[in-house]
Amino acid sequence: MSSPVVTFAGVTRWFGPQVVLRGLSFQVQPGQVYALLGRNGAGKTTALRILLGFLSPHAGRVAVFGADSQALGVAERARLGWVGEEHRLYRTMMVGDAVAFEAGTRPGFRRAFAERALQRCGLRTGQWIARLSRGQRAQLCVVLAVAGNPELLVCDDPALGLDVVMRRELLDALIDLLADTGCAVLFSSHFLTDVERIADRVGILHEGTLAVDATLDDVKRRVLRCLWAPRAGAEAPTGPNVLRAAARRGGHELTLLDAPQQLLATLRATGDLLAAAPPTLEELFLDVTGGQGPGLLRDMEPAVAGGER
Amino acid sequence: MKALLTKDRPWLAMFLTGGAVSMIAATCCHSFADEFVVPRRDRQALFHLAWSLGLALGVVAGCFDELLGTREYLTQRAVRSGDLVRARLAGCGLVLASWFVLVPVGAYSVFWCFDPDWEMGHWQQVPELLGTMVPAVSACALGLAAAALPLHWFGRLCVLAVVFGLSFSAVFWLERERPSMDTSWPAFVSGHAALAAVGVFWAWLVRDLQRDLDRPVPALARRRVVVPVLALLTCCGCFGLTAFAANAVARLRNTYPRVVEDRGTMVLATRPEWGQPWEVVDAQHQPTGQRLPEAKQPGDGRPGRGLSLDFVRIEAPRSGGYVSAAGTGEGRLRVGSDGAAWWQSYTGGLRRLARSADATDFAPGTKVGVLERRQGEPPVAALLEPAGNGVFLFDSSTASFQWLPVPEGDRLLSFAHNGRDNLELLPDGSALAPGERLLEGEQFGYVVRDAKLLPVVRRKARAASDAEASARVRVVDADVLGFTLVGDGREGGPAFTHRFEPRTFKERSLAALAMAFSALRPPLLQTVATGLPEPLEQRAHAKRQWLCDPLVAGGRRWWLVGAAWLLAAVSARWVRRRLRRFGAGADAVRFWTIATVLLGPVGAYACFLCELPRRHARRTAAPAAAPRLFTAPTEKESVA
Repeated sequence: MSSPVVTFAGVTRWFGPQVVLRGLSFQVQPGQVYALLGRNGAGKTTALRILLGFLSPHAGRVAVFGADSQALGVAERARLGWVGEEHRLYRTMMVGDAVAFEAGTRPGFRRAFAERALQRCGLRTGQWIARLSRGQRAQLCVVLAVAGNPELLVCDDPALGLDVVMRRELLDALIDLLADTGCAVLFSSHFLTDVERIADRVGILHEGTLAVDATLDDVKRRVLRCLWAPRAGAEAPTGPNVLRAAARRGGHELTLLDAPQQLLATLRATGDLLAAAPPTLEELFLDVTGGQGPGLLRDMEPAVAGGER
Repeated sequence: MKALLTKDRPWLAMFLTGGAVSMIAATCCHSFADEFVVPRRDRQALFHLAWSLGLALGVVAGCFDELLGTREYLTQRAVRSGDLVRARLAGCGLVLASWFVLVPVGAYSVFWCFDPDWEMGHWQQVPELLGTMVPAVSACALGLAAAALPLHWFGRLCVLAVVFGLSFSAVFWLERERPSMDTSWPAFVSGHAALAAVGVFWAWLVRDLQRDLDRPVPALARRRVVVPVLALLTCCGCFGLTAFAANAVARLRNTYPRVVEDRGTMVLATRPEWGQPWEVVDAQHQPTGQRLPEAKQPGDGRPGRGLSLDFVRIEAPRSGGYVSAAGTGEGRLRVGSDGAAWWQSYTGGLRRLARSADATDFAPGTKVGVLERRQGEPPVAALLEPAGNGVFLFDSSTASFQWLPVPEGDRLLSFAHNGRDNLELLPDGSALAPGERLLEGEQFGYVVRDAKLLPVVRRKARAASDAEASARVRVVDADVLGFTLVGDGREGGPAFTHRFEPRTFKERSLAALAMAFSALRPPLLQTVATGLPEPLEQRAHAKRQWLCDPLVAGGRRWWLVGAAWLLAAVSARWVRRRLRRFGAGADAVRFWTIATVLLGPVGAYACFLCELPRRHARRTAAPAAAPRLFTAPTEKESVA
């Protein structure tokens, strides 16, 4: 197995009296598209800022291409692209100047590629950045970051504040630009439908740590969501395989993880088991981060086949 | 480098053009003669504009990405932090170099276009013009260094203000030649070059430090930033405490009663308001109720100011230039410090004037003055050449001089004001006519009548009378808070001696206040001060009063030094407990404890500003559970 491009190992970060990241650990493999999800204030941006060396952790370590993120050299930064949530660029420049600036500060920058990509996005080199719309600025940021030929692209909610059409265009541009480049992408987002389109793996950050760190295939394969209407006297199931059990009119909405046939048989025997299907990412996200889900998750023992850490 | 300069184009263009235009305007607000022929002794406007623009340039260059919010965008480039500093320095260097070329060239060009007195040449003033702009370089470097500090913006501004004030004052004191107070240009330029080098070096040292309010000061930053900041805070604290103490001492001195003379007897008295009769007080400074309407002060009766703060000075370099000028109605007659005389006619034209037909210049030190100024007539100007003991009457119609012989046995000193109290009319002399001005000699005062010097007044033996007055009331055993005043009785009156020291409640309160400020000073410096000779009342020592407390100088009030050490020990104990409560490491605790012991409350204050709670060190976050849903990376996934 090749070495991961990003390794978070037990990263803890405080802001004043509040702990934002609590022993965060995960890895991003080469060529992987990793989506870091979480509610507002969950610590996604903090994690990415630590990765980029803008913040330092109070405990733990982040390695980027094997190097400590707090001491990234020119060589490592040259392999790293970044698109921030605010799409910061020099507003005093024109688009052409921004391209020249990138070319002058990134050794592997592909100028011709950038110009073609800009043309495709409908951006002209003579346009002032200050006069670009938010969506255009986001596209420009993505083009500039990808044209730097990075091995790791870090995007902090790049579609934030964009309308549906612009968001779709931005993602299309990202997918097209990254096609066959072998570039790993670590991005945070609130748009779960977008994540489902492009991500290989998702990490759901909740209360400073990852509640889910799995491939999308695994999510679909191992998690089952069903409605269960119990017969008189039957109680909602509990146990390590029940991620969430929310009371609904006439029954319970259950989210089951690696549900054994025995559990399903018991549920059928004690009630009506309806609409059993893999959840969408949004449903899983809500189960993990909303309502009583996290409490249930936190109380359960970590025992997942193949996932013991 | 080129790319990095591209992003800096806005401030490069703004400062290059704006700075050059404003400095050219400051230069051109005078005439061509004022700037390039016989310049003024200093160029205040240009100097103050140069350093303030330089300072702004440095601050903006250092904070530009922060102002734009692009700091992180810049940081994640594949560029070394050293290259970023180099690019900023290159940008500042470009702007400064442009100023040094554009300002003299621009000013010269503007004069060429608009000043009728312009003529080719007169390059000899260009070096001084450029020299006046040198503080732009040092101020820029200091601004750049302050902007690079990993502090809050307000903290950076405070550090910048302190560093700037102290360092520029230090250069001022180094570059002035005593007693003329003219600038030594090599000292001025090298002083500012050294400041610039220190600023650049500092900016280089702190280039990698980041500001993180939730992290303690790392050991590297403590060495690179906190130690210099601590030194600055110490200087600033000493200055502030001296200022407060000086204020208390001045009020104490004003509260003391005065020595007045009433019918040959000296007594202590106070006067509640100016113009009111004196009220006698006893030896304990308590009023007796007796009033003395006729009493007079035989002298000031008080020694100096007690404490001097005359050391923070930021002034333009001063040298050469014309020493004096006078208008005659048709133009201006001016003479330079080198003795070169110039006639600038209002109708146009600038002429260099010779002393006589042999075309020699006047001796250095020659002055210009007006001898007669009558209603409706042009003033009569003349040159006084003390070195040659000659007076040269100026004829503005022919732009020539007429030499006037000085009466034998006397030596001319200066142009005098008519109302000077050291002159008295000669018994046989005629009164001064309206508009006549005096020429003061060693023995007589003269007026010019019929092209001759005519003595009309005599100098009083002022020095003797001053000496007599000062001998009658003199200060002995002077201290900052108290002194002994001895008065010799006149007309058979008894001798007078009184020890002035805090006696009333108000006096004691003010003295206690001054001593409280003294006890707050760094005990290390207080200890050093006890070993120094007493600097009180000596102007030569005034410059170090802010650093070495005169209240304890010469071993006086040793208990104040003890109090400073005690206060430092208490502060250090507080610092130690606070840092331990914060969860600080042993190194940090040791560093701040030693700093506080040596520097007293100043060190404790610096610690209060710099050190933050280590919440992460004290509180352990609940251990993170492993992800409930986890997929181990597979070989297929890792090579995707």
